[in-house]
Amino acid sequence: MTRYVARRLLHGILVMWIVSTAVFVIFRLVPGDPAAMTLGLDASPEDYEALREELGLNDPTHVQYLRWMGNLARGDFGKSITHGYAEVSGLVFPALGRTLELAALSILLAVIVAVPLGMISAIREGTWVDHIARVFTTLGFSMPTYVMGIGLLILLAEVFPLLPPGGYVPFGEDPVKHLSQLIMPVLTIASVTAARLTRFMRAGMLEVLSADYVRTARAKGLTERRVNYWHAFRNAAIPLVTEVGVNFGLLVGGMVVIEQIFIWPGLGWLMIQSILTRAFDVVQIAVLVSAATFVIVNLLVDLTYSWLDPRIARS
Amino acid sequence: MQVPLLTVENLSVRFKMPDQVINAVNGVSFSLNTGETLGIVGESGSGKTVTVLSILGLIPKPPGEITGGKALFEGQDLLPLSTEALRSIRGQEISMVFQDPMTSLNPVIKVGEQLREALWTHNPSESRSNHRRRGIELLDMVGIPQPERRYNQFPHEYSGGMRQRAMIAMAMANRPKLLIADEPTTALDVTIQAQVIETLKAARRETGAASILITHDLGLVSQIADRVIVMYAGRIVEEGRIGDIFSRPRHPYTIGLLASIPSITQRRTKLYSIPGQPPDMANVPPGCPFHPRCAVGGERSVCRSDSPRLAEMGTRHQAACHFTEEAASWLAGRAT
Amino acid sequence: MNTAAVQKPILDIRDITTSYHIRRSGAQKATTLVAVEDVTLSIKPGETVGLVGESGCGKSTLGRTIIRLLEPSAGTVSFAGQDITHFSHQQMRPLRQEMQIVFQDPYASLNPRFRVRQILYEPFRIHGISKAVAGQKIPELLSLVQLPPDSLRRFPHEFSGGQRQRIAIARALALEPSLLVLDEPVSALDVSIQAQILNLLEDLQTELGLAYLFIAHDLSVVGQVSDRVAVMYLGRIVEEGPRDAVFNSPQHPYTIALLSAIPDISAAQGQQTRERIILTGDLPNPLDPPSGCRFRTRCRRGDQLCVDQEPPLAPVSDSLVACHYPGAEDSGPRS
Ligand SMILES: Nc1ncnc2c1ncn2[C@@H]1O[C@H](COP(=O)(O)OP(=O)(O)OP(=O)(O)O)[C@@H](O)[C@H]1O
Ligand SMILES: Nc1ncnc2c1ncn2[C@@H]1O[C@H](COP(=O)(O)OP(=O)(O)OP(=O)(O)O)[C@@H](O)[C@H]1O
Ligand code: SF4
Ligand code: SF4
Ligand SMILES: [Mg+2]
Ligand SMILES: [Mg+2]
Repeated sequence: MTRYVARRLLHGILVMWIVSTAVFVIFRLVPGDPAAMTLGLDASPEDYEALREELGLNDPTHVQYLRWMGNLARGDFGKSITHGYAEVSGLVFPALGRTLELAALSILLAVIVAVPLGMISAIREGTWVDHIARVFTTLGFSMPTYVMGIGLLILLAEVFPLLPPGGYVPFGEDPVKHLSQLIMPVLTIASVTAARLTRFMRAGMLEVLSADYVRTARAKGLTERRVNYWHAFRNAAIPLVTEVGVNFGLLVGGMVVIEQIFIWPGLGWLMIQSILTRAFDVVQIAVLVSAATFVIVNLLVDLTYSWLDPRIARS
Repeated sequence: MQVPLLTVENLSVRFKMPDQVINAVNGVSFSLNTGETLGIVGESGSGKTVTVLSILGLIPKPPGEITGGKALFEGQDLLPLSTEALRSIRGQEISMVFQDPMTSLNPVIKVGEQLREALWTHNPSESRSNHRRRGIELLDMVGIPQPERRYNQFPHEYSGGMRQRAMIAMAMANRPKLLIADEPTTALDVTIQAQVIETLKAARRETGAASILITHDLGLVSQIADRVIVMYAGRIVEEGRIGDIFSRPRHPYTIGLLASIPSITQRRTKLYSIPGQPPDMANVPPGCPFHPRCAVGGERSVCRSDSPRLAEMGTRHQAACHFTEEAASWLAGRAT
Repeated sequence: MNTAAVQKPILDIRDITTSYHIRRSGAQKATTLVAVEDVTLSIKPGETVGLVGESGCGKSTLGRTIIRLLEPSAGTVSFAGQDITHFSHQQMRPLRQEMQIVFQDPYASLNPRFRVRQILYEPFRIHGISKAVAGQKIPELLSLVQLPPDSLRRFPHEFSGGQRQRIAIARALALEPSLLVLDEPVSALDVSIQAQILNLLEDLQTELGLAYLFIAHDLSVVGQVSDRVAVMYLGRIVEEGPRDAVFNSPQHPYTIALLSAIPDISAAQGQQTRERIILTGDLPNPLDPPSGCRFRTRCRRGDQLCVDQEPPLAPVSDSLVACHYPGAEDSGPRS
C-alpha cells in the first residue's frame, strides 16, 4: 500500500514537472516575450530592454529554466510587476481558496441530489420517479452552464431581486451576504454536475442490480432495503468516487465562465483579469496551481478508491 | 403416500422482450419429497434456472412474468406471496447455490460478513458474537481451512472452489428444508468439482435437506440424484428415477443425449449426435418441440401438429412422446 | 481416430519452456511466471494428441507456443523437420497456412461486424490468394463443416454456439493446414452439440489427414478423440502415452485422481466404475510452485524424496510418467 502511494506521488510529481516545463516553454517562446507582453506594443525600447534585464530574459535559456524550476521547487512564485510587485502567491492562493469553496459546495450539493436520485431511479426503473430523473438529467446535460447562469441571474436578481447579482464579500465580514452571493453560482454548477452524476449513479446501480451477488443477497432472504442500500450501493459507490473526484478536478480548472458571470474572484476570474492586464507572471502561476489542484485531487481519488475497493487495496 | 415437500404444478413463465416473447417455462409440474434429491438436466436455455428462480420469486420482473401455475411448499403456494412474505422462506426454508462462485459473492463485503448476514436476517435477536461463532463453524463444516482467518477475508482472496464452499455454507446456515443448487460445479475444475460435490453431499446428510440439482452434466446427476427431470424447450420431456432414465430412457431426446456422452470406461467408435440446433426459444417449433431433431418421429404429422403430454411409462417414470415404444426399439437398434 | 503409421512427426517440440513476465500493480519488479516448463511432445500427421489438465496448468500457452504465437524461452519447436523456434514474424508467414488454431469461445473469436463470407475470406486475403480462388473455396468450406450455403450472407450473432464453432473451424481449414490446434473447441457447447463437433472433427481428419493437438479439461472428451494423451499439471507434463494406456492403466497419481473424479454415467447404467479419489487442497500458486514434485502438496503417495527431487518424465509400461512412485495401485511408500 505505501508502495502504491509512493508510486502515485511520484507520478504526480512527474506530471507537475511536465506542466511547469510546458508553462515555461509556452510563456517564453510563443510570440512576444514576457517583457513585451507586460509592457504592450507601444513601450519604448529602453523600458523594454530594462525589463528584459530585470526579468533575466537575457540569460541563456537553460539558466532561465533552472531558475524557474528552482524557484518553483522552493515555493517562490515571484512578485508581479503589474500588481505593484505584490507576491504572486498572495494573489493566487486566496483566489484558489475561493474557487475551491465554490467547487466544493457545488459538488457537495450535486452529490446530495444525485446519489439518492440516481439510486431511486435505478431501483424504480421505468416508473415516474425514473422518468422525472431522466428528464432532469437530460436538461442538465443539454443546457450550457453560462445559459443556466445568466438565466438564474436574470430570474433571481433582475426579475425577482431576491439575491445580489454576484460579487464577493468575505465570510468574516458579512456571513449572510457571503452565503447569499454563493447561492446562484453553486446552483448553476451543481445542477449541471448533479445531472452528470445522477446519470452515472443510475447506470452504475442498474448494472449492479442485475449482478449475481445481488440475486444471492435476495436468495438469502435479506430485505429489499438491505439488498439495495447495502449490497448494491456499496458496489455502485466505488466508481462514483472516481467520477466525483474527476468532476471536482474539472470544476476547479473550468470555473472561468461562471466566476466571470457572478464576479466571483476565484482562480478563473483572476486568470481572465490577469490576461486582460497582461500580468503574465500571475497567469503562469495560476495555470500551474490549477493543474496542481487537479493532480492532487486525482491522487486523493485514487487513494480513496483503493481504500474502498478491497480488490485493489491488497496488491 | 407422504405429502411432498414441494409440488410445482403447471408452472409457466415468459419473458416479454421489446421485439419478442420468450416462453421460457411451459406447464412444468413435478414434486419432491423430504430428503430426496431431484436432478434437472437439459440444454442451455431449456428453462432450468428460470423454473427454480420462479419458485423463490427471483426472476426479474419485468421482463419476466409468471403466467400460471402453483408452487406449493409444505402446502403453501409461494407464487402469489409478496416479497416480504417470501423473505422468511428464502434462505431459511429454501436456499440456493448459484453457478458462478466468482460473481455470486459480493466482492466488497467480507465473506464472514456475508455469512453472518444470512444468519442475522432470520434470527435478528441473537447476538453478533453468536452469529460469528456459528459462521466460523459453518466455514469449518464445508472444509475451509483456517476458518477464523478466512472469515475476515474478501471473496477475491478465496479460490474458486473455496468460494463455492462458502456459498454452500451460506445456503446451509439456517438448515433449510430444501437446497437448490444451480450448476454448482460447472465453473470449477474437475478435481475441485469432486471436492465441492462431496461438500454438498455432506451438508445434505448433516441437515437432511431435500435438494434440487440443476446441471447439464448427466454424469454428475447420475451420481447424486434420486430422480431426474429432463427439460427441453421449457418443458419436461422425461422424468423418472435415475436407474430408469439411464438404463431405460423412453424419450428420443433423452436417448440421444445419453448416446452423445463420451465415456471414459468404454470407448465408442463414434458418438451419436442429435442433429440440428437447440430451439430458438422465441420461435419454438409447433407440435412436439423436438420434432425437427427427432430420429423417431420427426417426419410424422402428429409430431408436427400435436404436442405430446407426459404419460406414465412405469412406476414414477414419465415421458412426453407420441412414439415411446418405437423410441425404445430405436434405442435397441442403436445399441447393437 | 486412425493410428498413424510410423512416420516422421509433423510437429516436434523439445524441452520447451514458456514464461510470462507479469507486473502486479504496486510491485516494482516484474515477476516471471513459468507457464510451461520442459515440455517435450510430438505429433504425427493424421494423429490426434489430447492435452488435458486443470485451468491454468498451461495448456493454452503450450498450444500457442507450438504454433509460434508465443516464443519459448528455452527448447526447440520443429515443424515438418524445420526448426522454427526463433522464426521471425516474416519467416512464420508462409508457415501460418500450415498451422491453425481454433479457440474455445465461439462468441468472442468471430468478428461480429463481418458476414460469414468476409470471415471466411480473411485468411485468403491475408495470404494474398486471389478472390476468384477464394470464391470457389468458400462454399466448399461451408459444406465441409455442414452449414447451409445461405449462411454466407449472415452475421455471427445469427448462429448458435455450435454453428459458430463450425464457422471458426471452416476459417481454420481455409488454407488447408496440416496441423490444427484445437483449444477447448467444445467446452462452451451443450452435450448434443459437442458430439456434433467432435464427429465433424473426426470426419475432417479422415478426409484431410489433419494432425490435431486437442486441448480440453474434460477427460472424457479427450478420451473420445485422442490417439495419444498428455496430462499436464502446473506447467509440466506428468503423464503421456497412448490413449488406452493412459485411460485404462494410468500410472501417475494425478492422472488416476483426475480419471476417478469424472462423474460417469456407467454406474447408473449398472456398470462397474472406478473408486472415487477426492484430491484435497487447491492448485498451488503457479508463481510459487512447490519444490520437488509439483503435485506433492496434493499427492497421497509423496514422501521426502518427492519434496527434494523433481521426478523426470520416464518410461513406465507404455507411457511416460513423471513420478517417483508410479503405478496403477496406490503403490507409494505412505499408502
Ligand atoms: N432475464 C431474462 N430476460 C430475458 N430472457 C431470459 C431471462 N432469463 C432467462 N431468459 C430466457 O429464458 C430461457 C430459459 O433460460 P434459463 O436460464 O432457465 O435456461 P437454463 O436451462 O438455465 O440454461 P443454462 O444451462 O444456460 O443455464 C432462455 O431462452 C433465456 O434466454
Ligand atoms: N498473457 C498472460 N500473461 C500473464 N500470465 C498469463 C498469460 N496467459 C496465461 N498466463 C498464466 O499462465 C498460466 C497458464 O495459463 P494457460 O492459459 O496456458 O492455462 P490453461 O491450461 O490454458 O488454462 P485454462 O484451462 O483456464 O484455459 C496461468 O497461471 C495463467 O495465469
Ligand atoms: S413426439 Fe414425435 S417428434 Fe416428439 S420426441 Fe416423440 S417421436 Fe420425436
Ligand atoms: S513424485 Fe511423489 S509426490 Fe509426485 S506424484 Fe509421484 S509420488 Fe506423488
Ligand atoms: Mg441456468
Ligand atoms: Mg486455456
